Amino acid sequence: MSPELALAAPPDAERRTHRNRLIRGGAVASAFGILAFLLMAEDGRRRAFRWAPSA
Amino acid sequence: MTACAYGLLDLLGRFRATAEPGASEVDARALAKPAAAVLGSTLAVYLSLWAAVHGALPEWVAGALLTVSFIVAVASVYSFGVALGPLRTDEDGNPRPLLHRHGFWLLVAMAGLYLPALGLGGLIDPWETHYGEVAREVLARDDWISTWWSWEGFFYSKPVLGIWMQSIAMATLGVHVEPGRMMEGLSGAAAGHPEWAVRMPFVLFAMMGTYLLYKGTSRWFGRRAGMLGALVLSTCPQWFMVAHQSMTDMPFVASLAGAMGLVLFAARHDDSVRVSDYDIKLGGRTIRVNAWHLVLAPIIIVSLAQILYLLSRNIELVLQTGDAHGFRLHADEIHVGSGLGNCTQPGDPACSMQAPVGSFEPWGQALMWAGLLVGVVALSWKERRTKRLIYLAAWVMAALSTMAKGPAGLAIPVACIGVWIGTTGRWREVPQMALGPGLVAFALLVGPWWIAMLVRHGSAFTDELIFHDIYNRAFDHVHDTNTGFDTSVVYYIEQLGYGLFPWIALVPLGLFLCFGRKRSDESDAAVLLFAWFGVVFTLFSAMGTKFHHYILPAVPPVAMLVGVTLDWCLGRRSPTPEEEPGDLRSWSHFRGMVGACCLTGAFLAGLVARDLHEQQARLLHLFTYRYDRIWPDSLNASAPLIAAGVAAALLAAGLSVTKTRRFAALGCMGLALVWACWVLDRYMPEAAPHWGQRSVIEAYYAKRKGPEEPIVAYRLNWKGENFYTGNRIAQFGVPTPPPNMPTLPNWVKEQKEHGVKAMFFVTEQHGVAGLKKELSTAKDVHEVTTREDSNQFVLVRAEL
Repeated sequence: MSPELALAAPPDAERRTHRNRLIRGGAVASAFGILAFLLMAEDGRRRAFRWAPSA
Repeated sequence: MTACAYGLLDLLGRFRATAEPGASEVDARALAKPAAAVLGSTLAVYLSLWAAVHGALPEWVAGALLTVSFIVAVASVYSFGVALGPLRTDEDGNPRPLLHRHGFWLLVAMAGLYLPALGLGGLIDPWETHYGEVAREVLARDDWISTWWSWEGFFYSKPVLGIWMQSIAMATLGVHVEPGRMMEGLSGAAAGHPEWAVRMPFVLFAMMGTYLLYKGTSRWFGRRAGMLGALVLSTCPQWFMVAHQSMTDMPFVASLAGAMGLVLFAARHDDSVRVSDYDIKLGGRTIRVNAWHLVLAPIIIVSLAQILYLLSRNIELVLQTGDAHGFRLHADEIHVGSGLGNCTQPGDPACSMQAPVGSFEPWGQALMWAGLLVGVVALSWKERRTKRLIYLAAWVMAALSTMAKGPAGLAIPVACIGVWIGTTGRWREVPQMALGPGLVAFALLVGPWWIAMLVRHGSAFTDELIFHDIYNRAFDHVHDTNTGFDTSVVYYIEQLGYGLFPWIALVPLGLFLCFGRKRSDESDAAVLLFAWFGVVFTLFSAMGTKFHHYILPAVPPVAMLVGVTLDWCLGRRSPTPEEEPGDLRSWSHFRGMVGACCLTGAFLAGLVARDLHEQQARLLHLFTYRYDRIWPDSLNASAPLIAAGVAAALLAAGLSVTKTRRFAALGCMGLALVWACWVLDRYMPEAAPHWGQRSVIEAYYAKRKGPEEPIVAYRLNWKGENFYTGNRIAQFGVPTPPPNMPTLPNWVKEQKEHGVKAMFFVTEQHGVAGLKKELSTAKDVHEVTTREDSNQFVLVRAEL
């Protein structure tokens, strides 16, 4: 192995870091994004108006 | 949202440490203790507020705990900053402990002034209660786009930031937003204090704006001058009183002041300076953070919340109905009417569904804004220059200001900075102002609500907000209440006199010192402050519609210039000819002018105090709606007002003598702090019952047997009647009643037939005679509250 290559990060370790980041970041972002989205989509408005005596 | 934004940035590799040198490393374990302190003290702030809102503790005790826990939170943030790295040294690279930090003492002073009596005395009609009720409806109707207010219908007259802030605060602190439960506390139907919840975000804005302005000014005039300027601002009545009000003006002006502070801060940075990186070692991985995250995080969080909300408008997760569960895809729909069952009351429009005017569905809007978010992140992806990131933060501040009160939030800073650059020749600043990412971030933060409203309500929205409330207010009179006032150029000079007391005494000296000297480095900053004052004063004096509080944006620059003057007074026992104009003749002229300015200031302070004493409601008029309300006979603020006037005049005269100048300057600061405490902790809470309806509605909940004894608003349009009852109130005699309203006698008769035996009425004192006439068939009609409870409003009980 040439000295330049020895100094560089091993390619599979780099790939692993990249993959870990994708899994971790993607999981956190999706989990909380979906949770927020579902909370906002929950039928609170309907409930708000169903309680109306007129409904 | 924060966790989601963190995940997104992690996904993009934004926290990855690169091989770039110069990052300071810290082990996550070293951060654990300060992080726990930050979390713990924030929780203490929350719990103190919760205790105040729900009546778990006496209000003064909760206020004191809130103040203390807020100061501890500030100290904890500092220790976290030290542990992480950015606060280890000051901007000169020297270590500076917490107690030697001017910014810390500024925050302590603001907390001590603003927090102890934050929610005392009830909300003041009509601004606070109007916006508060709209914010309550956001939660009751579960609709964060189409805002609603009782019989007025959709609420178009103000942009949405101030409303959202209150809704978020009410939801977070568990205020009972259901109709009829607004004042509910742990120990009864009127034991709660929602005022603490709705006002807290506004005070935080005031603190943020003042702090950023201090940061920017201190870069030019020195830390002490910056701190004094910020303290002067914090003790100007117009500023501290509006800081205690949940009205749109404080987020508008505080963000504006924050933007200007950041511009002053950025202008002192060299474009080649890069932000420092901080690597946090956590287990086997390294998380790199820097100022980029600090600036981009709020942009991502605020826009992501709006994007997700828009996306969720076309899909519904049905959980509550008995039969069908699951997702329901649908076109956007708008509910009409007051939420949670108020639609059948007299005075409120009937509930119905409405289709949006435009066909641009929210999911499409969400995709568009998501694209813009990608654009902002991409445009600033590689940005590490400190100066550009500070300018980007200034754009965020301008966006918040615009979200709070409309286009003036952008127009005013742009005009002021334009004048500044033109007069000082700082043209090279312009390309460094992060124009590209700044403008896109501005559109991304401000745009979603405006576009969503435009699509939903079309011309009804634009006619009201843009043409009626912005255009017509600028060029015509829109229900202003200044009949009998001289609305020429003197109008705002008069109000600034009251709004700046006691600091008005130093304004003549400040003007002379700013412009009576040779140009130096810091005079460029003075030009920006003066341009800011000039632009705002001209703009609002030229406008057709005039309310006293419209001049608030002119207060911060004057206060900062007074602070610089105060610094000069404190700094030199006697200015020497070497430091001031060259030859001896101009030296004696200089001393003479300083003396004359101080004496002029003393006269001005005396005159203002005389006016404040003659009409003791003048201080309240700085932010209320009607200026013809009379001061209650039961209150007398003469002695403190006379004492403040005499002290201000004597201290200003003391500034004219070289030997006493330093003491007089310290005395002025002491007087201003005592003055602010007195106005916020005594004057305002004592006057509030006469300018708002908390006390009379509280009496209703205390005296009624139960919901079977309803409350009716009679000929009222002061908004407190709706807020404090959660809009569970029948309304008769409103300016624009919905169709098919019964008359009051007919409705009362109908209620009696349905078994109602007694009713309460809230009205103005002068409405009692008319009410008694309309209730002629009732067995007994008597007033429950007295003029000492409220000289404006009265609660009446009728036995049917």
